[in-house]
Amino acid sequence: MHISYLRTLKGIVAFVYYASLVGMVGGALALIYAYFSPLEHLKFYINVPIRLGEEAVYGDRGFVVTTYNSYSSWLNFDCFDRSMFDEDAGLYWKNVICIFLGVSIIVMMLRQVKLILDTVGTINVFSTANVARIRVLGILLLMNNFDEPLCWFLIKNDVVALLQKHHAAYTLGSYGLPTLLSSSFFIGFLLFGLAEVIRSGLYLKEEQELTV
Amino acid sequence: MPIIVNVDVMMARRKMSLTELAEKVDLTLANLSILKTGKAKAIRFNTLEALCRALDCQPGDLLEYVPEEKQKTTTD
Repeated sequence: MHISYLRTLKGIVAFVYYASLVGMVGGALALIYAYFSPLEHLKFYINVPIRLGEEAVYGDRGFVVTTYNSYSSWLNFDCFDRSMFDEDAGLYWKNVICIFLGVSIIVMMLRQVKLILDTVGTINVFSTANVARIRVLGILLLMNNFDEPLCWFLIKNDVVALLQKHHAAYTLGSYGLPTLLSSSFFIGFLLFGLAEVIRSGLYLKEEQELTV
Repeated sequence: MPIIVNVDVMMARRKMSLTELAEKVDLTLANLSILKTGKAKAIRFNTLEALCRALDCQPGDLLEYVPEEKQKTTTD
């Protein structure tokens, strides 16, 4: 029963990991293709803490920005003029970097979980390698908290300049820094603690083994 | 580690092999090897007692304290 549960869990994690990996590579290729292809109509989305005064802004040369307002809004940029898009290529590429950064963190986290789960059921489950993996997982979770504010810092000026260029009314928000109580930040620290507990357990085990 | 285990010295003096000693003190060859190579982190009193009995010696004949600085100078 336990083995079948473990096997299922390993299977799910491996599937999600490889699917994310394929998604990340495929997504990157699609975004690169969208930029270099001769398409006239280009769309891209940005998730930022900004609120538009109206649901749609119609700018020059067929430029349209629509929004789905919530805590952080999805700005949906529609460029019907290629030259218009080329003017804002910087924002497009910065957004691609941000997406890639966010997905990379998730893929790296999944990889660590997969590697840890692979050792469950073997004698290597309590090893220094797994202690290091749990620490890396904690670091990635902490990094995940700073991903959105960092990307917002990176693209904020470009988004504002673009909206001002098209005379759009907007209200700026901010992500703010994560607090200790935000769940992934808390879990990140918890993982550091767990790694230390396992490390001291390993030390005791080694001492026990080397006691004659 | 500043504690040196001189089991091999005592074994040579008593002309005793590792297998023979392992049988006398009821220890596995692997554990005795850990002790002999200085990898051991601790030794139980009953193991020490068994070794002293088998090798007819005192604990001080088996264990020696050498400060780490002295160890470094001798290795250099």
